[in-house]
Amino acid sequence: MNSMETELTSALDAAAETVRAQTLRPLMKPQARRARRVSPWLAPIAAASAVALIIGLAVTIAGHVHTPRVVPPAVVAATAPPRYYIDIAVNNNTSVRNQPPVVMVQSVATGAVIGRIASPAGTVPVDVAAASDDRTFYVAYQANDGIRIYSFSMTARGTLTPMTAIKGGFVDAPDNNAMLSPNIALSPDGADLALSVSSTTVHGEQQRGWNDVLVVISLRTGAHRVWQGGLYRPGEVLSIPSISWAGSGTLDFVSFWCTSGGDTLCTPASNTQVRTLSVAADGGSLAASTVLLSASARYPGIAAVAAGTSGRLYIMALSRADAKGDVAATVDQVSAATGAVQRVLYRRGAFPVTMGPNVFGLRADSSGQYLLAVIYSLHWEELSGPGAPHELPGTSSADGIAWLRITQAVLRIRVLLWA
Amino acid sequence: MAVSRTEVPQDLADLFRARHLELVRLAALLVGDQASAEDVVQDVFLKVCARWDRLTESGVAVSYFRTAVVNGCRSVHRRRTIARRFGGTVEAALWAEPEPSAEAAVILAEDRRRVLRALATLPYRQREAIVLRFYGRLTEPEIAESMGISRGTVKSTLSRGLDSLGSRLARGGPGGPFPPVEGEER
Repeated sequence: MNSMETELTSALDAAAETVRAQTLRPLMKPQARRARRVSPWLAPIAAASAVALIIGLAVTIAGHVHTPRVVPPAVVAATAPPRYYIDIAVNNNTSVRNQPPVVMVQSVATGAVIGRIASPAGTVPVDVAAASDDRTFYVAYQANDGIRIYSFSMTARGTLTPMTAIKGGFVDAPDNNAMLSPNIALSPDGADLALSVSSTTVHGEQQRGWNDVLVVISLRTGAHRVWQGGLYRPGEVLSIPSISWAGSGTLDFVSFWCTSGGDTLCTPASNTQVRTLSVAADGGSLAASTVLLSASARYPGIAAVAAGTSGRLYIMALSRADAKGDVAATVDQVSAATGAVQRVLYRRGAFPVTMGPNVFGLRADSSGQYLLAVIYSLHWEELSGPGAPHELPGTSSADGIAWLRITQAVLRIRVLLWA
Repeated sequence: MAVSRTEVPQDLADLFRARHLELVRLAALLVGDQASAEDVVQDVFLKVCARWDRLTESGVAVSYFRTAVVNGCRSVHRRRTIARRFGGTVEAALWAEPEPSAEAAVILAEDRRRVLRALATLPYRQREAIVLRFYGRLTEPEIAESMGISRGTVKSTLSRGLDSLGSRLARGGPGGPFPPVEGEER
């Protein structure tokens, strides 16, 4: 052990000793389960602090409406909700051992695990996407040296094929922090896979951004087209937390800037935007994108965007609901052309959070009939009922979700969930 | 032996009582604050209660506890990263200023604090491996099991982490220009 390692051991021991036995809270015993309608994980949640066990509930919003009578007649015929979704389970409730994150295919109706996909050695799954053939899926893995993209398929018999690395499916991200998870999205024609990744340029200077680079991978050739720069602001940190294809060749994304840098605190992001970028070129600057929507009184914080059909955008926004720090969330359908609100799809009043505003993900399918949203800290009892948004079973500890439709082509829904 | 969700087997209670402090300290070094660390361990305890009948050997259980705590800390870190993007804050780090107490100030002198601040700037996986190796005194196979990665990956992760740490310490010097750590306001 060299001197630095000795110094390191000494520092870690000293830091650990600041945690004294007499200051520990006594462990709480498991609580008895409620008689009905209580998810198995609610008891642990009630006992443990939300910091340790923040649970995101997936909320499905059917047909951008909740009842058949409000479905616009001109829209394509209603289809059944998807039967399965894939997710990245962080704390796999169904396994005997507490495993590292794993990609799982689950039933929308019951949450039953259809299959699990073993991760390539030395990687951790961070996001997922589904193709329009309903059978091909893409998973982004964080490896030591960067992001690696793999795919797997579901056979006609409902079995899952092993993971295979896609051509060009490595995005070099030296010094990349595994926790700066990339977002991925598959183009509607299935030709390109887009990622927002972090350049994480830590060289003794302030980081310029989290997920501040857009990369489009051609799934046919493996070629990369990269968009970076042009949106950096002095003293601020750029982040792209959400991306969505608005037709092949156009990528919508959410951008915001924090006023502090590094892998540290992000002060309230009041300057979020939804921007659109043509990615038909061979790459370039993010400055080539244009603003579709800016933060406003209605949208104080835009956290996720999903491009819909016919010029629709779906926006998930957060706002401070009260002085206690509770947060309100809305999911609106707006016009991409004018920014006008066309429909309020979902509204959640003040709900408590422990770590600031939380909005986790939003994805629409190409038919415009289903939208999957994930919002932190919702109580599922309040969401149940005919026609109302409802929780997807089995998603309480998921990290990323992709809905997929097995029986028919068309539907692609994927959501990024941070539980 | 099946165990109901409201019962805590005596052997589990004894084992956890003996390991409670050790697990909280490990978690505290990974998440940076005692409160979150206690929450992680509490969560693990509740999960183990529900599965105790399947974890019969104490050796397996201890290894399971550690892996579960490491996974729990990783989840906390991921959530914090996202929360920060939307203006969230996190608890002050154990090694952050101002001093949490005079006693802690003595225990955690500035030179050690400097090492910890440098450690906090490393990518989380490297930090995780280093804490398990140099605080937990785990072997590479044990680290591999706890982190769910291969031995080779453990070796390379540790190597990169130590190289980065060394260069950051050399570059920063006493009180050097490290980025602030979790919980430190600029």
